Amino acid sequence: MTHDLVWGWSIIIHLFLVSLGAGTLIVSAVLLLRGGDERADRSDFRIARIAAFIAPVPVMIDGLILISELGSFQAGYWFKWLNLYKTIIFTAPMSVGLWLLTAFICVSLLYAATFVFADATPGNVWHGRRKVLAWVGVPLGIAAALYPGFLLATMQARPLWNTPLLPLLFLLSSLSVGIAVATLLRAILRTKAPPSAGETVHQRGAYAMAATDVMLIGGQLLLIILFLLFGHLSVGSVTHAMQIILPGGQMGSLFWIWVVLIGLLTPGLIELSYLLPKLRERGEFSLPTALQLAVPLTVFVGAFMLRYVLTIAGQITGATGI
Amino acid sequence: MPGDTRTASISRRDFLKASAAAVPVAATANAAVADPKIQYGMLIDIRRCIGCHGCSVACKAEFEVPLGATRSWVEYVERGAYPDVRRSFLPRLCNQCSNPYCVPVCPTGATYKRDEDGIVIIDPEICIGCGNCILACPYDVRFLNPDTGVAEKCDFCIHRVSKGLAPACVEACIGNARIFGDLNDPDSEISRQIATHPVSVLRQGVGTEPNVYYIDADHAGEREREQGQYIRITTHRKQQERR
Repeated sequence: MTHDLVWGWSIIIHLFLVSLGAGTLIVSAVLLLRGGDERADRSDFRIARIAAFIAPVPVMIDGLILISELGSFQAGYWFKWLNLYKTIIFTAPMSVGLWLLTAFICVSLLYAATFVFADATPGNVWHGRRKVLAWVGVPLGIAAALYPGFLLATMQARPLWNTPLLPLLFLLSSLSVGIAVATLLRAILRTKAPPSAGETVHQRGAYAMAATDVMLIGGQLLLIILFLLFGHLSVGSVTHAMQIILPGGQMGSLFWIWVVLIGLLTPGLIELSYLLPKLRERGEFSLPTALQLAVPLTVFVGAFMLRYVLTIAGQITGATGI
Repeated sequence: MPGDTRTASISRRDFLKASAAAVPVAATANAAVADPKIQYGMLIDIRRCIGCHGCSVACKAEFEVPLGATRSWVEYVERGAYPDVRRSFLPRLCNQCSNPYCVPVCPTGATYKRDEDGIVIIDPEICIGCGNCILACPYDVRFLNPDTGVAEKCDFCIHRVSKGLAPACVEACIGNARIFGDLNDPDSEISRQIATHPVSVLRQGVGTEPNVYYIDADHAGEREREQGQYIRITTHRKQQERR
């Protein structure tokens, strides 16, 4: 098969970076709002702080990548992309998404700034503003996480994408990526400066994070099952398009090995196996530091490959017949 | 009761006033129906197409379409098993849909459907070349021009049509397989031919309401192939498979 991809690497990276930024901001804001500044070891506050610095970066890099990949930019019209800012078209997900991501960058930068100034500790002079921005950041992050799914799902001509399950799948995946960032930060921060006190508090935070991640991974698997079931039970174009990601399909092994096995089942089962003792009230939750580093990496790989497979598979499939 | 009479009287007077006012409104409405806007369309009679690619070449020359891109092309459709075989041609171009999927997704408003003639066009001054419309089109008729960096497609040769000329592909067709005209004019050649022949449009199920009609088009595709029929489609494009 020979296909020209209209949307290649830049869009795949775009979908991933938006999810990374959105997920990181949401997790940072949630950690702060659920009392990150009141914990004995302040580990949640430290994670929320660094996550706040990370959140705007991928979205800003993503903007530069997208602009550089525009047909007009590549043809030498360097500033034609500013036409995007001359209007807002509510039927065009890309137009709404642009304004949304612009707002996201502004809010996430302001939110990050509240951690920089003066004494960035819980309860300092920026405390109130930080919390207000965190409250704004959560819905904005959710909207930004949903947007890549909307961009694809609203295309009626692309049967693989044209399902409302897609934005939801992207949202859960983004949240999982955000938790992976926080888990990674927790592991790194703890290695650097192990808290002498508050070990239980630290483990409690790690437990809440792992438990949430397992639920998010479970949700993604459920959505994928529904997605495949929808394709199987439909007729015509959707069923035909779905063949591409089924075992034996052109992108089947990429989807099942990289997305489902490495990206979802591996981190989900690892986290679940360490959660079980506490869930069954027969022990404490304790994830080894090596796994605290490895699990987030598999989540990143899976989230990236999900976007890679869906972006390509949706483009090279279309309506059946003519 | 006097009050009742007065109310009734006012009501009658209001009714008469309203009726009098309604007459010119109705007349205007009738005038609007009698003078509808133009919706240009095309009818391609596959029985008359010999697959010479004259239309494709005329289009390439008219617009200096870059190498590897196509505004208009001809597909070959072969089906069946000997001796029950058929080969037919399927000229393709933008369907100038009445419900175009490419228009609402454009983030800059560069793509729009003209009120005066129903042609879907792209404003090259506004288009940024994001590719959204290319993927939104269920007929895969759009492409990104690498020289200009904007999306392009067939526009029914709007520069020729506005001067009273036929589109280049219609002019070049040696089999007179293409009829171009106003679909909203019941007396036009295209409307009369559509009224008197069984016609079809491409991918009717997607709901775009195309304005390019075909007589005797072979709609064979993957479904028939999966049912065991021999189907070979040659697109004569860089995209060797329909999307």
